Amino acid sequence: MPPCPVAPDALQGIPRQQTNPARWQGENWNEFVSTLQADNIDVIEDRGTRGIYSTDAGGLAYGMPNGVIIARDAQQISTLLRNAQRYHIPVTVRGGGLTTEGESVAFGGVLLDMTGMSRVLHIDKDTLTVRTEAGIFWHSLAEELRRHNFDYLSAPLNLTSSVGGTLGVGGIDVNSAKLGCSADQALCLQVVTPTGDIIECSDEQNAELFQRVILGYGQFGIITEATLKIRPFTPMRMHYFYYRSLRSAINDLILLDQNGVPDYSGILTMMDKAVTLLIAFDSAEREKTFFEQWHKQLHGYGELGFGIRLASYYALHPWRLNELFFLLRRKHTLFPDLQPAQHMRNGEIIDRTVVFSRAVWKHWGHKNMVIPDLATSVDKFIDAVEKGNAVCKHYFPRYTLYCVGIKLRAEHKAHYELSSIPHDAKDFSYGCEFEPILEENNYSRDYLQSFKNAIYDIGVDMDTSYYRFGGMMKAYIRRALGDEVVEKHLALKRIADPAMILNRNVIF
Amino acid sequence: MSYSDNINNSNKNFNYCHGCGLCTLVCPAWQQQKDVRVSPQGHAKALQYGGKIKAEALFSCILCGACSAICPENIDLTTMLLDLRQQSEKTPAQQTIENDLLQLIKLKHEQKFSQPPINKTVFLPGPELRSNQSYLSHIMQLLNNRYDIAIAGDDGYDISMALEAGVEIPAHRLDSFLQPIRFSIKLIVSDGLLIQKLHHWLPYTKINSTGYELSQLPQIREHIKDSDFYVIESRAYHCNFEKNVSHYDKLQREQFCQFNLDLNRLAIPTGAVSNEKLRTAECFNTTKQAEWMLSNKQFARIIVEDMKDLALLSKISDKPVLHLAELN
Ligand SMILES: Cc1cc2nc3c(=O)[nH]c(=O)nc-3n(C[C@H](O)[C@H](O)[C@H](O)COP(=O)(O)OP(=O)(O)OC[C@H]3O[C@@H](n4cnc5c(N)ncnc54)[C@H](O)[C@@H]3O)c2cc1C
Ligand code: SF4
Ligand code: SF4
Repeated sequence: MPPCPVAPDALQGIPRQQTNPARWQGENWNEFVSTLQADNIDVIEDRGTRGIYSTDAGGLAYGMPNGVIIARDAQQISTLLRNAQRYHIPVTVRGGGLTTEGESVAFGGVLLDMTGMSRVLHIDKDTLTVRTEAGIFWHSLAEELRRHNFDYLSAPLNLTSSVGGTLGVGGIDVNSAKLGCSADQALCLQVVTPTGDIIECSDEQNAELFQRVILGYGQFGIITEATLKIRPFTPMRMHYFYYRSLRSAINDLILLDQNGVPDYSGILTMMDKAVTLLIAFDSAEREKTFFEQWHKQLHGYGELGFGIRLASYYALHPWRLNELFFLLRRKHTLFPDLQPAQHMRNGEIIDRTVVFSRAVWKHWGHKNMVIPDLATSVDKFIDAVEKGNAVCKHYFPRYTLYCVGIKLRAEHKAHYELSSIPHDAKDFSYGCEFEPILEENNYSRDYLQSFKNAIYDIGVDMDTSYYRFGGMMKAYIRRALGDEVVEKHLALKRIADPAMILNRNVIF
Repeated sequence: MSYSDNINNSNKNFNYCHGCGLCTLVCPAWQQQKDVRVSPQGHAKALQYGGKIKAEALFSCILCGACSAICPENIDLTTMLLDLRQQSEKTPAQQTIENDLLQLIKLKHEQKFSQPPINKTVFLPGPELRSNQSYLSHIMQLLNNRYDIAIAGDDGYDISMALEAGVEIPAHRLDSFLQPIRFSIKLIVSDGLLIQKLHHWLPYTKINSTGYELSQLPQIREHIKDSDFYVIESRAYHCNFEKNVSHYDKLQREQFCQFNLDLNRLAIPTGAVSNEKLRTAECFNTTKQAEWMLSNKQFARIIVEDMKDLALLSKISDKPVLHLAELN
């Protein structure tokens, strides 16, 4: 076996070797690089640059590419992929790198950094669409759209996730119960296939490719450009309701979503002690309708009512006072960050993604983002959340659950195959993220992984799907989704990517 | 993440970077080149992996300070960037600048400046305002309405230039600069980079930028209109971010003007205050940057806080461009 191409001199005098002989060992690398260089493609091989991409937001999977290429245009990517097929070089695509299971980490081969392709190409005010390069961060897209008083439909609550990376995995926002997942706003894509063809695809044109690339984890092609729906920008009117029980909060969430009441909805908890239902509206009329017709049906409390109930609970459980102090501290720091004066006008949030994303990083951010999740049908959701909650409790004293619904589009059924959307979900799918609050505590990687596995095992038992899907949790895909669908996609992958070079090991 | 809690006095270095990418997202140098190697994330991660950072990448940076303001780890990225400049291998052109600066520093150290009185607010206007007497005296008049103000003989522009060029500042020169202002009640400083360092050097002194102070004055504020596009000087703004965000937000609510602020409420710089001689033209293009700042914005005139922004924007905009002081 040849020396490990990634860290040949890691142990002085003892050349390291790959222990997995099936893995790519660095064969043909030099010829591959020379061929690309002859085509004026810059392959960056210095250690510092490769180190930039050594892990993803999860911080649990580490790997080094042999070289980095910064994406510049579809033609360059096409040349890269043709040669990668020819020389059998693995290519890992990365947008914002916000995966948590190592899906965007390269274990050798080329790391293609898509953020080099970040231009907004055209905003069409008549058709309400935008054409953009796919490496762009949603936030940069929002920055451009806002100058025209537009907004995208939905995107992850994270400033540095990219359009391409999100269309490839799904994307959930607090308006997904109304507008669908982020991938649903894609109308057509320019894709470079694993063999280097540059193809425009949509539900009408090259539909099969489109269906495989959307929510396809970069298996069937690299998204280089996307045409997305946009909408007029509106500020957001936010309301919070507090619950002592997960079950009744989830019931209320589902009730409101299924009746299309709020424009934004979700549940955010502090353990299972303080469960907050967030709902928000794009317009005063919809807000008014909610208060007139739906408010009374909710089981949540206002801040005062909830405070009284919480106080009585801790009065009866004084040995848990530490927990109360934690809740109060969290409330004291988190709530102002959910309504910072500079992002509010007349009681409305004007930059919701900035507010939420920054709050996420500030209050949950960590060098290890541990966010296993379960994606289920409506019927299974409460059970799944309760089981996941029990796992969280077992592993961590402090944690958060974040639940949100996704409206499914019947006409997009083909997009959802082998994806985070559970096969048995109809009309709506629900997702819950289970997120320990790690703060300054140092948990071992094994402990964190064990926690994630315990959550993912619930998915296997309950026959659900997962939002975080590939990479280190690849082994769950077959168990959770079954052989038939996996075999079908594997066969398609083998045809589309004969040398199996594109995002190898992420799903297959 | 956090907006840095106030002034970034964190001791955290590149080691603490976990690669969230927020500094890349907001970095004007990255926005122009779309190459993570020019961003603090790129530098920090490369250093973690034992890599070296090329001078070209370091000097693409215009030291706007946006990255420091947004870093969730609260790493003092501006200091990291300045330190890296000092350690970098300079190009021949940068070497010449370094030699000239050392000469200037020597001259400044030997120069005898008048000492500002101890119990006054001291104004450090910087070379651009000094060379424009009418602006300078008008600003002095305006500030005099509010403070018992004295003008500093030495406003340390050689120090600021040395910081930017990555030239080590001799301790005796730093002493001769700081000694006269050490016991001032308050400093009003035009140079944003210097403000950032002064916060470290004189942690107990109140320090505000000239733009901040002028925009506090009612006689200036009342002349800011809803059709104005107001360009905040980014270096000063970001180094005291929390406080400045509230200040300009209040101004916006009162006067309804637009600012050069992005959705994160970071100031979009033109880069005009940075020393372009330190970089090659391809590294960072201030005209392109200023055009992006103004693109698709509707306004009747531009108001600036900084003289170099005044010069640059007057060149590229067909709308009137005024210094804040001209509003009164
Ligand atoms: C703190 C935090 C908060 C989060 N919040 C949310 C949230 O609210 N909602 C949500 O949906 N997700 C959330 N996520 C998950 C993450 O933001 C999403 O998975 C995100 O959409 C990934 O985008 P990215 O650009 O970072 O993709 P990457 O992580 O770079 O890549 C994701 C996958 O797509 C592939 N890929 C990347 N670019 C392309 C391309 N152009 N073409 C084809 N394949 C490509 C990669 O190879 C990889 O397999 C969060 C993550 C973190 C760490
Ligand atoms: S100071 Fe400004 S230009 Fe320099 S790295 Fe930070 S954000 Fe980029
Ligand atoms: S913002 Fe801070 S933690 Fe995030 S990548 Fe930049 S330096 Fe690293």
